[in-house]
Amino acid sequence: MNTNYTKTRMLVLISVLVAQGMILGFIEKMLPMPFIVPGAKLGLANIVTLTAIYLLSFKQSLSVVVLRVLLSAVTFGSLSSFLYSLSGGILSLLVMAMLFKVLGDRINLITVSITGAVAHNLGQLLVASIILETPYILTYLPILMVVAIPTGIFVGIVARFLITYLKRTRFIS
Amino acid sequence: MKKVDIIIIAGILVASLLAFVAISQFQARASSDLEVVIKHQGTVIKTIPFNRDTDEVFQYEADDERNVVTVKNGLVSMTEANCRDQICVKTGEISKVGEIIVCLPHKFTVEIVSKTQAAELDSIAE
Repeated sequence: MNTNYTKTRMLVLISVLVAQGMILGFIEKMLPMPFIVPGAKLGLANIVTLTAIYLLSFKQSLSVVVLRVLLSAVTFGSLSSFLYSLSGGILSLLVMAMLFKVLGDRINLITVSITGAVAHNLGQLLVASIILETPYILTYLPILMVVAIPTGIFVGIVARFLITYLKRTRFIS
Repeated sequence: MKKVDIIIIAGILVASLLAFVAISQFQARASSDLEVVIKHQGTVIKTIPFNRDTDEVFQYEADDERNVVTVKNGLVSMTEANCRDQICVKTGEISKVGEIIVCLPHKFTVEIVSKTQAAELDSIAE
């Protein structure tokens, strides 16, 4: 296959993933969710990050995350929401990419998703406790870790469907 | 499910359980010298001595940001806020040391601290 051709395909795939991530984040804000604990959410955008990790290189996945967070902040958010999303997004990407690189198919995608959700919470709480100058925010972590398990399972299942489908289309070789 | 998966998920559950226990231990040791510390953008703007008889409403307005903290019957809550997500109001009531209400959009926090434990924590941090 021609290299330019492959490059263009990758560019298209990254752009589509960024757009999907933005829309999923937007949809999530409109979904009426039961209030369990401050900060708990479905984390639908993680579907896109997981897909990137499983189908693309680390650099490409990183650009998917950074572009999604940046464009979402410019479109719907503010500076502080940008910092929270960025710290959560990058930390969860690092943890999930590491798990996938080290363990590959020996680890269930759903476990990667759950761990990513926990890392996302941790990243956000760390940044929040720095910005607000209070370590007590971290007391939300234990309950958020428990909530991350069902949400991580849901996100992992959806991501598995998407990844299986994309592999079958042979859009990426 | 493979072995790795079970280990990781069990690890997350155990870690959160341990953290719960640690936090409740910390709360059980708390003495009676509690106070409600209200911060805006990381700076303390108000402290209220906190016990069962405290009855106080604190209202804070900065620019067009408004937060109302109510302390009553040994419970602290954010009764009103004009932030977009209302998470602080939905957090409900807190009453134990270490508990916190956060209003992220306004960078506004309400925490219950023990004066002596806060001093201990500070000396550890230093």
